[in-house]
Amino acid sequence: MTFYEALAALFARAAERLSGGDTDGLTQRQIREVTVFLRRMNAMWPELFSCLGQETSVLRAGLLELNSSIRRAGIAAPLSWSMADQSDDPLVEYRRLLRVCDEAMTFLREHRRESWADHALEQLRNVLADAVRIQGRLVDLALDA
Amino acid sequence: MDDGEPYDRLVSFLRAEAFPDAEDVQILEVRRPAEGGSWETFFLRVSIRAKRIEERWLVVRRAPNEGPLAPYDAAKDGLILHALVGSGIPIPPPIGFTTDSSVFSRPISVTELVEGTSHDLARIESWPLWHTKRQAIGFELIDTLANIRRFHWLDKPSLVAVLGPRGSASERVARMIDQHLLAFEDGSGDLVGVPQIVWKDIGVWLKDNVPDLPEEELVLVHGDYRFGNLIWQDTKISAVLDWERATLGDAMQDLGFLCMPMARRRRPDLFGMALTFDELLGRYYESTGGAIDLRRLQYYEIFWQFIQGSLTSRRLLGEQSDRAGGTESAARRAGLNMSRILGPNLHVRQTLPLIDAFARGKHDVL
Repeated sequence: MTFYEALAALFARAAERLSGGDTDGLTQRQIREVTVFLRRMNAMWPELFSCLGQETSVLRAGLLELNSSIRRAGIAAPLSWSMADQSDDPLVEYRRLLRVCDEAMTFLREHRRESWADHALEQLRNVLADAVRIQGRLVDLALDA
Repeated sequence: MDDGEPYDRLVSFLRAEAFPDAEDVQILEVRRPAEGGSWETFFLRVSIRAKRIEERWLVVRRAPNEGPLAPYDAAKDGLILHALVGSGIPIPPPIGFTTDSSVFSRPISVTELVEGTSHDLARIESWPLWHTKRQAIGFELIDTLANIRRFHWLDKPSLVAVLGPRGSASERVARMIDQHLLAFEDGSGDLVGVPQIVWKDIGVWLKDNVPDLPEEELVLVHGDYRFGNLIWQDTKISAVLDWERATLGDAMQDLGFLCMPMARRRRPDLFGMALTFDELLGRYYESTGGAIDLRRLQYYEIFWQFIQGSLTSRRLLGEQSDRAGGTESAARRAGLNMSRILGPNLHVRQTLPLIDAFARGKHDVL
């Protein structure tokens, strides 16, 4: 489950809590948690979809570039790194790209004593750091709310 | 005391193990704190009848069934406390421990109650003394850490045995990292996020860059040295609690935990949420007679960011795994705790600049 899917799952938990029947029995802490959750989601909402789109773009472009530079070094990247089987569902596509990144990271670390892999690993780290920064905008909005 | 707990068996344990000379032991009162750490805590007022009747407050800590740090080891905590008696390190006087779950449902560790107050790091600003005597509190944090560092563990073979497999700093660090990296190998391939991928990479980086020290140069490391595990009387620490994460390690290891960015998010200028950088450097030198090794401190800040960050991810993975399995559970108990979702991104963003600075030799970036 990705960051975006995990956030969505919290809506279900908030609803479960409020529709449990005995809302009078909710503790102050439980009520505060629901309130904080809604306030944070409200703060993130205007940026939520654009951040998902930007992260996806950064990951896709980064992986394509990574594939190219590995091939330029004369190394065959694993077949599953193919960018061909994209999904139209943005959440499915985001998750797919993360899996490819994970796989690429494992592959490159196994070869990290070789110079081509060292360079590629640095490339991938930069891509992931960019994605982290994009998602971080949402996290900061939530924490500041 | 009609809460369904097997107090009769607990009393038998206390009589046999802790008060063998007593003719009678009775529990007069039980209090259970509303909130606490992962261990369940019971405060017991007990009456002990021997040559005379005396009343004492005891603390029973019961190991959780499950959790991110599982398996929980009540024996380790108990054995360490016994080894530290008389060392000068402030600890709650140990009474006993048992791993026999028939005594009180799960393994327990029992100590005397130490008077004082404990303060959660997340709410440290609500402690009035933190505002008026922050520097004195910070000095006490460092002085107590220096006290732990000075402990002669080589004289205590029974203690060494419970502090993990023998080895140098790099061997011990590698074992801890491997243990935490396992948390990301969930098998289903369904639980992937950018922070998790980055943590896996940082774990490998940590193993590649650990400053090595031979075992004989290692010191006792508490492993969870934070406000929530300290009992305070005014600005003095009267007890250091929760030793189950203790190990032998680099002298900068506990300091790295205290100072890591995750532990001072609201006040990045206050190391350990208590001291400015200059105050930290000065007091450490006064207290230990040696300077802080900034390179190793920076490394151990990264190390703890990884350990704590991977724990957050592990909690999230556990919740999702429970949901996938349809079990009741960690997910429901976690409720709407958003920090488990927001935290990993924040912690990675705090950690990457430290790694970059380490690689460039800029060890004053902390």
